[in-house]
Order: sequence, then C-alpha cells, then structure tokens
Amino acid sequence: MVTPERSDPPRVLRTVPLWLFGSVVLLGLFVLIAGWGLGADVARRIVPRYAAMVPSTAFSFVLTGGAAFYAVKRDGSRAARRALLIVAIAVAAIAATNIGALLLTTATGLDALLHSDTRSSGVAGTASATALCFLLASGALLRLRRAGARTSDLPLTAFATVGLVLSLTAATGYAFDTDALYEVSIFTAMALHTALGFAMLFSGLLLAKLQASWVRLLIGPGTGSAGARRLFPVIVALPFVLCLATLWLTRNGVFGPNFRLSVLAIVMTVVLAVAVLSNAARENLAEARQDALTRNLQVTIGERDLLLREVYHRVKNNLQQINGLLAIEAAGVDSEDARRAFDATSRRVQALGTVHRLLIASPSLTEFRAEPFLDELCQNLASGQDAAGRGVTVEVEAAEVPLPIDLSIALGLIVNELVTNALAHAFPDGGTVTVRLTRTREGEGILTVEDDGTGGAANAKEAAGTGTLIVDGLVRQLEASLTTSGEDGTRTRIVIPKGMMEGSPHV
Amino acid sequence: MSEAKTVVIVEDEFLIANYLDGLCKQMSVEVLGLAAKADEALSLISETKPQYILMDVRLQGRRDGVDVSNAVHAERPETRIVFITGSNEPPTLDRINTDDPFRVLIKPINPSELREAFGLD
Repeated sequence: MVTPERSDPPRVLRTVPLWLFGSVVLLGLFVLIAGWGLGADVARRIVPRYAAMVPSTAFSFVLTGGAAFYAVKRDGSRAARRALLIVAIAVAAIAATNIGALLLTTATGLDALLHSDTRSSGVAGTASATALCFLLASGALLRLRRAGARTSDLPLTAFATVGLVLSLTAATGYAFDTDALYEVSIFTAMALHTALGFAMLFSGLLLAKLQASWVRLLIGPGTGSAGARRLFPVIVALPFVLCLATLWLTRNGVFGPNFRLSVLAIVMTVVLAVAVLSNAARENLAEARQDALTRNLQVTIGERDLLLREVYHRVKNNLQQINGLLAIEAAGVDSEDARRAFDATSRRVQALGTVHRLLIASPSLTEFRAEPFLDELCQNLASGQDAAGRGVTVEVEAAEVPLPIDLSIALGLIVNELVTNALAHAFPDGGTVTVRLTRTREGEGILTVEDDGTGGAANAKEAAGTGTLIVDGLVRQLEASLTTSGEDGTRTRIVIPKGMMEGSPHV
Repeated sequence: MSEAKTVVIVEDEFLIANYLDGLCKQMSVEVLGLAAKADEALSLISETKPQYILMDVRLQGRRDGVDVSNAVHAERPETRIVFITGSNEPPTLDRINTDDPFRVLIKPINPSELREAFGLD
C-alpha cells in the first residue's frame, strides 16, 4: 500500500512569517522614533486615553522581530542561531527587570527609571502581561534555533500559543471595553498596538515552523485537516463578531445585559452543535468510503487467491498429464534400465505435483506446513515401491515449520531421491526409513534421511547417477551442505541456511 | 564455422541450468561456466569473456539479470546476451528491453530457438 506523501504547504505560507516579523520591527521602530524620539503621543498610545507602548517594549519588539526575521531568512545558519540566542537573552533580561521592578518598587519599570519623559507623561510603565509575553517570545526564539521544520515542538507550541492567547485577550478587550480591560491588573498598562504587535509576533512564530505546532493540522493534506480549514475561521471569528454585535445592541438599548448573555449562550450552542454535527457527517462519509474501499480490496484479494489456486490446479494437472505421457512411453519399453529411468522420472514429476497439491490447500498460497508435505511425499514413495510388502516403514518427523514454495520444490525432489534410494538398496529384510526436518535456534533447517538397513544405500550408485546429480545440484542451489555417514545404515544430513528457510531468495 | 562459439550460463535454478548446459553441449557450443548469482556471474564473465551469455532475469540475491547485463555491456558492448525468462509480462519485458538484448527467449525453451540464437542452422 502506498502511503500518501506529505504535501508541501503552499509557498505563500513561507513568506507570511517574514511579513509578520517585518511588521513587528517597523511597529517597534515607529513607536521608538515617532513616539519617544519625536514626541508624537499618537504613536505612543494611538488613542489619548489608552495606555502607551513604553520604549523598552518597542525596543524589545525591534529585537525579537528582527532576530526572528533573520532566523527565517537564514534558517539553520550559525549567524542566525547566534542572533537568536543573544536576542532571547537580552529580551528575557529586559522583561525580568521590568517584572522585578513591578514587584519590588513603586516605580513602574525600567522605562520610569531610565526615561524621564515616561514619568512626566504619566505613563503606567510595563504591563506584567507584556513582560510575560516577552518571556514567552524569548523561549520561542530559543526553540527557533533548532534547524528543520519537520518535527513537532511542544515548547515552541506552548510558548507561542499562550502568548497569542494573551495578546488576543488584550486586543479583544480593547475592542469591547477598554476600561474593563484595564481593571484586570496584568493587562492594565498593555497598549493596543503592543497587543497587536504580540499577536503578529506569535502568529509569525507559529507559522515559521509549520510542522512544529497545531498549525500542521490546519495545513495538512488529510480530510480532517480540510474540515478544520473549513470550520476554523468560523469558530474563531463567530464568537468575536457575535459578542461585538450583542454588545452594540445592549448599548443601544435593544435588550439588557443579561438577556444578551442568553442570546450569546443560545447562538454559541447552536453554532457549536452545527459544527460538531457537520464534522460527524463528514467523518461518517469518510468512514463509509473507507469501508467500501476495504470491501473492494477484500474482493480483489479473494479473486487473486482464487486465480492462484486455479493456476496451481492447472500446473498439478499438467504434471499429471506428463506422468501419463511417461507411462504410455514406458509401456512400450522392454529394457529394464529404461523402465527404471522412466519410473524415476515419473516419481520426480509426482513430487512436484505434491507441492502444488498442497499449495492449493494452503491458506497462505505461498507456503505450507512441512509435516503434511513430507508425510504425503513419503507415503506416496512407500506405497509406490511396495515398502509395506517388504516390511519397511517410512517415518516422518517434522518441526512446525512453514516451507516457502521454492524451498519446498527443491526439498521435495531431494527427499524423493534419498528415500527412493534407501527403499531400493538398504533393506534385504525390512526396517525403517526416518525423514526428519528440524530447525536450529539460529534458524537453519536440518533435514536428515536415515535408514537402519545394511548401509547399502550409501554405496549404491543409482542408474547413471542421476539421483546423485539432482541431489548435489539442488543442495548447491540451496547453498546447503550435505554429509553422509554409514555405520549401521545410512544417514544423510543436509543443513539449509536460514535465508532459504525463510522465503524466496528472489527479489 | 571457424571455431566453437563460447557461452556462459547465468541461471539460479539448477535443473534449468543443467538443461541449458546439456543443450549447448549438443550444439557444440563451448560452455565456459555456470553462475547462479549476479556477482558470481560478473566475475565469471569478466574472467572468461564469452561471446554469448544465456541470462535468466530472476536470480538469487538483490540484483537481477538485467543489472548483470547492464554491467557487462558497459564493459564489453559486443557481448551477445540472450535473455531467458519465465515471464513474458510487459513489465519484465520492458525491463529487459532497457538493455538492448540480443534475443529474448521465453521459458520453456525450444531447442531450435536456442540454436537460431547462436546462429546455427
């Protein structure tokens, strides 16, 4: 099965963080130069009664925005990594100093100490939310030093997401009721453009590493991501728009503040319910498609299995026909030697037929269990050579090993030759042939064919030595080794390497 | 015919390699060696420099007969490579044809086809 390739996000997404970081730098420079350098109050606070962006905040924006911009432009370079480190430390130090000043002194931060103008213009220093946001930004900058955009990054996600939520809280507060925002102490002195600057900065940090955070779910190729892209803007914008609208309606006396809450509650409930249900419908549809696909595949696999069984069946029948042809020819032959040659060939063809007969019945179609195979093969040989009549039994002991098709063909032919040879030469007065297949701990296969006869099998050379030729050739093909010992009876031991036991050597 | 043609047989099935060996000997083509694997085949071929190679497509190991042929032709383009394959499906034939083969024979091999491939009548 082919896994879907991770599609690359649209190129435009790569330039968005650069625009955002660039805007953050320009914002900081604008407030520093126009607001504090040239003394334009509109640059400091936008609206006269709003809190101002203090110089240390504007300066920190220039630093963070600049470092982040440089890092995205020169991703992974040594210079960019160094710049990020220095800026992260500097910004964190400024923020920590401001927090320390807030906690320890009545003065309102670094700017009140350093810049007389901030005191004289009655600015309420740095908001603790601003300092906190810069600490988060500093942490995120350190995570930006890691090269590569392909891995998820929990700290970066946490820093940037918390920062984004904090800054959007402030921005939303400005949209609804500035006084209410200022009542919450940590936001008291956060300027409107500080809130917007942070929103841009943290969005940029999330977009700079697309695969690092939940952003990857929005840009991903899956149907889940497609659904998220559809729902996300609605879910994000709707509460905001709705609250703004009901606020306006209450202010204009259309209904009271508490009824406004009822309207909000019910509209949110409806919207969320619609979102959940539409998502459910989409997921059900996707699952139904998946089920249909799975069913189709199962049918296809079933058809393939059927075809393969049919092929094995035909091969087996063809082998039987070959045996029939051999039998017709053999019937017209007078010479004993020639008849023996025909018999031997017929047995070999039959051994091949046994492989295919067992493959048809095997659940996997490419391998089957060793024991029934060797059993059937040996019982065919025993009955074909009237072993029972001569007081000879053939015993099979096989470990629970699956035999791949290529190995079973070679093994079948080898066992055929060795057992036939034992049956033909070892027993003037009856006995036992034992065929054993085991597997060592290392995975090698060990085939032994053993008789308790006279030892004649070891010395016997079959007609023209074809049996030996076949056994030697197949042993070589399997990269196996063969040893024969013959004290009481004959014992042939073949060690088959692990790779051959485990499957087709073909690619 | 001035002198005996020479051949190397690359085939991983012993019984088929043995059969081809017998056929070649009947046709008085001199068999310089048999190989079952790609690297075996390559060293045998560069050592013996045969005029012809009978090449099975499926071999033991990672590389197949087409890989071997590419390597041989890179060194000695005049070598005549006769592909012998059990599969006449288009993907296999396409892969063989990337090497500009001298002949392609489909198993089971008819002795007269092999005789024709050697240019014997």
